[in-house]
Amino acid sequence: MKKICFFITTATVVFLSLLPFFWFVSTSLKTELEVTAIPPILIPAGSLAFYRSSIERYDLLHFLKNSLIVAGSTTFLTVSLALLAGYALARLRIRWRGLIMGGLLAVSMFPQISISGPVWKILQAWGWLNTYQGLILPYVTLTLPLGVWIIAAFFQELPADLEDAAKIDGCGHFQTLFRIILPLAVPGVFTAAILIFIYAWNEFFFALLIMTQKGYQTLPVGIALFQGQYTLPWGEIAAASTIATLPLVFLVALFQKRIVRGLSAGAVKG
Amino acid sequence: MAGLKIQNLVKSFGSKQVLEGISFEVADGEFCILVGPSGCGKSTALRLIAGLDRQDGGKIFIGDSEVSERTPRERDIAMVFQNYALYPQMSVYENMAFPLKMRRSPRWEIEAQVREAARFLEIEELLARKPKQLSGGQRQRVAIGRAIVRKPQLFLFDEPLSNLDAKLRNAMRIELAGLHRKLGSTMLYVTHDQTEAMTLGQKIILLNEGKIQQIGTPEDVYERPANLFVAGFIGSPQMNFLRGTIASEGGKHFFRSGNLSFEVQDKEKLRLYGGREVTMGIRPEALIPGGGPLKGQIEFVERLGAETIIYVKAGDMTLVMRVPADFPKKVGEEAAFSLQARGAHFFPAGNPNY
Repeated sequence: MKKICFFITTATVVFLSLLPFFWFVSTSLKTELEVTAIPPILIPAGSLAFYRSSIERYDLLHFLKNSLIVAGSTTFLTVSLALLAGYALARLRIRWRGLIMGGLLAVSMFPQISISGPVWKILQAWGWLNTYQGLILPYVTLTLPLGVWIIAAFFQELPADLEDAAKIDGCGHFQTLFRIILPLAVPGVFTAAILIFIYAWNEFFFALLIMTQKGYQTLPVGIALFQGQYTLPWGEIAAASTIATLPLVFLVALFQKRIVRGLSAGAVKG
Repeated sequence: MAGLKIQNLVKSFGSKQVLEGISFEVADGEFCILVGPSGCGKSTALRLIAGLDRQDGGKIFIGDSEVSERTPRERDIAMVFQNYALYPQMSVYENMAFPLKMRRSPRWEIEAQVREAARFLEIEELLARKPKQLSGGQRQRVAIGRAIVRKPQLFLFDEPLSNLDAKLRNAMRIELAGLHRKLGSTMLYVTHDQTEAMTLGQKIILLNEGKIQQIGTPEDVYERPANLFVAGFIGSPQMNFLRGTIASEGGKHFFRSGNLSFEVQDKEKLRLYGGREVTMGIRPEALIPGGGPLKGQIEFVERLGAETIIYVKAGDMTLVMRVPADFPKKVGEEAAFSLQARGAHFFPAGNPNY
């Protein structure tokens, strides 16, 4: 009985979460006629026309490139900084460590809307609107607290004796970090990297605010702007959304085990 | 190789003073044990000597040079940790090669050194394995291997046997003694286990509450404990402590405690204590069954095979005694004991549980 309840609950949750995904994947494979058919067609004929038109007419690959650049750079920068900060916060004797960690957490709680004005002003003053760095900088700022928390938690789990052993064997701080600690912290680093990448990949509000020129817009903004004054190209939007989602699904599926290990790092000793 | 000299080492964590100015020397090639209960500051002292923590005051010399301000890497030491601290991502070979690699030794030399150490420790067939695939004893061997490949000035051991089971611990203890005999290196070994201290050490330093209680050979600390702490810490079962007074009558000395009174041998020290309150310490083996001044009822008998430990109620005190395995008496029976002067010690009255 317990098993059946568990199964039904799980199945319901999985079904509800996958339903929108299934719906737009299915829509993306329809033909123009099938999209507007009533009653809706669940299993489409399997046309790739919308994919072709989203790439040819709506410049999808260009948005994809922008997203890769922005999300990729954000991930790289945030993880690099979070590694150094996380190591320092986890291991060195730092005054006010609790306050720093709490402060980081508090900063990450600010609603985006409350900082959008100042961010826009700063970027405008620097002439960074409609540049990659103009979007990467706020993304790094916004994702850094999460990265530092995950990575610091992971470092704290590693036995301190390993670092002592490394120091006695002749390593300095940086050698200890890169030769001994980092290889062991890979699951934590991966978890942080993927969560940050997903955030930067999906982020809409800042991207819309900062990137007003089509040449720099990322996927979420690009797709939202597929819509013209009189047209709503459902098929192309569905195809573009599928393409935007697949890399994330792929990443998470590939590193699923590591992410789970990374997220549970604080809970049980690995 | 070189000796080690510590001068007036002081260390506090926050407002708690962990080391209150300790000084000692370890001679070149000596196996020295730093022993004390947990929290006595022994591990702190070891970490200061290794350079992992910085002292608040005092000086550390290795050989002729002062190393107080140097980083661990500049001190030319090796350390073996309680939980082995092997690098999990590296094979046994890589673990042992790591200190040499960090020192930029040529590859052929690394290879030769690691092979030699592996042969010495009989772990050659494990070289390709990862630490995860090894047993506790094997891991500790690898950790020792990593320490000996670099031929350091000084070996530091931080409770290296505490994580092993009792049988393995005994075996490794003998191996460690053999290792020291073969290498002839200077070794400083921290433990809370008095058996390890007694069996391994050429010199024992007893530490308690951040202060050195006694420095001496195993025989010194056992036969001539400097104070109540040392007397109670060294030896198992623990020494019996009796509080009483020394009364001198006609050139003889008597120890009196409650309704207990017996003659004690004239010792040089006893004159000082005449008529004063003392704590008397009696080793469990210093009480010999049969025809003596001490009488009591047997409360409990522990038959360990090779010997028997009995608990005797004498007056309002319980005395622990080590007697031969074939000791015939049972719980509830009366027994009389004589006292061997060699195992009796006197201390100014203090807290016997100290």
